[in-house]
Amino acid sequence: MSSRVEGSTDTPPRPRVLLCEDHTLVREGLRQLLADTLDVVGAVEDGRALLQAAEQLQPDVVLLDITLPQLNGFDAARQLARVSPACKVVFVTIHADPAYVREAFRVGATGYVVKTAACVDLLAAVTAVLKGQRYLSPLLAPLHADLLSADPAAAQPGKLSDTLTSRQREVLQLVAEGRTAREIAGVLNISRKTVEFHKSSIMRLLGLRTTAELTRYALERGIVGPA
Amino acid sequence: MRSSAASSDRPEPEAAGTPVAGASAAVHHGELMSANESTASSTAPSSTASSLAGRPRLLLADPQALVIEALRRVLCPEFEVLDAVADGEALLAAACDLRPDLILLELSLPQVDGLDAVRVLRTRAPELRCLFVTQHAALHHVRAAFAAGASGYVLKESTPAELREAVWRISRGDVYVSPKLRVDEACPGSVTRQGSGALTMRQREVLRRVAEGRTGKQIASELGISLKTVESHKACISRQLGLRSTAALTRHAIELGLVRAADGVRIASESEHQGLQVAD
Repeated sequence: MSSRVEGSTDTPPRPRVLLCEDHTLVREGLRQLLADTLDVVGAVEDGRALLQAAEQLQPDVVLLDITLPQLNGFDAARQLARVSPACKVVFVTIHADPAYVREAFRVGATGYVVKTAACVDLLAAVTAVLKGQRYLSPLLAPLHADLLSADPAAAQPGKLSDTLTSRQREVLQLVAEGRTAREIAGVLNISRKTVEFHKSSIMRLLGLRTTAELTRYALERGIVGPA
Repeated sequence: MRSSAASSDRPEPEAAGTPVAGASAAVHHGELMSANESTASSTAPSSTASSLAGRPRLLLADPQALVIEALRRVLCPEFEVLDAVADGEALLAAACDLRPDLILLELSLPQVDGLDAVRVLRTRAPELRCLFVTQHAALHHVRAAFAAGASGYVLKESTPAELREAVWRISRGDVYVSPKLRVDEACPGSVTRQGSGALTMRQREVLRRVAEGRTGKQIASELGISLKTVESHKACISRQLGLRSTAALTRHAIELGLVRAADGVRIASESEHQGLQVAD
């Protein structure tokens, strides 16, 4: 992997990485940076495109942000386990809050890198998770050392967890992004009526009455980012 | 294109104008061409530093190291990146030391916020141009940026080709606003004018109540106005902010501090908020 000699048979193949980042400038720059060392098989801009690409490409590692349009990183990671079960998940995000780190490991990630870290940190994360280790940015590690050793399966649901089903969270995110029922129906490939049904179930479950309240809830839970 | 005659630090207007052909080629061919571009520039007659003097000299400011690295990759070697800093204080110091042609900066910067940094630079080094490269797409940010003295505004969701185009245009003395912001539809010709677009007290009252989840009818009775007036306020606010849904208005109201956000959610910094008030 350290050698870049083409056609050499004794060098292990470069890890196949799929990148998901909504800011095009960052995505394109990172794609080029990572391509020096890794085989970047795809670079996509939202959680839905990620799932599609992962199913098709079956990458070794997925690098993804938490705040992502259409489907946030946490929910995407949960669904990745179904479409691309072998792939390792590394979050690359601005969030340094321990609740985010905890939730990231809970949804199946084994790596967590903050964007204040340099690209070498990202490469170190890829190497570590491929060896089956858990990786947390050194910038965060002193703060959250316990999170590295804790068993994520045994972790209590944190403040970012809720009782909604994955479909309900999908609808909630799209509502909070300001999409109409018709648009949501199109994205999820379900009927408008079903969208309305989900929306009212969510409201009933959470005790919320309006779209504005749903939006604020989604913001609090990290389901959508600030405008 | 890489004139070796240019010995001064600062490119002459014509020298800066010439490379635009190269920039527009980059736009047509898209970012996948960047590898070829670098090959092209390395085949320039001379590889000494002075042969590259025609390139705009840039200083980058973004709190996220990964973003800086990504931006460098996108901007080099078409431009000369002199240095990159992570906060506003370091930006002010580096700007005075290095005297770049152009500063690319994020709105939210620690220590000294991006808007404040631009204001300071306008007085200390008026010839220096500033281009915001930011994730903040709300129109009030764009207005505040130009009111502070910026020359351009590009989103992080813009393409590398667009960013390079913006850098060339601003180097030539133009003003650049990302077409992604669709400012022309929202407020034709007004976005770069100071003071436009701030919300009135009444509009803020309506916006806050919308974000709190009140219905139009409730807002009307609370404010003692008709439902029709509430709806017209709401439409006005939407148009002015360039936000089309209740969800977007709610997120914006939280950002303005009109309604409380939950813990753990990062909203606009205090100084961004102040920047807004300056624009009022």
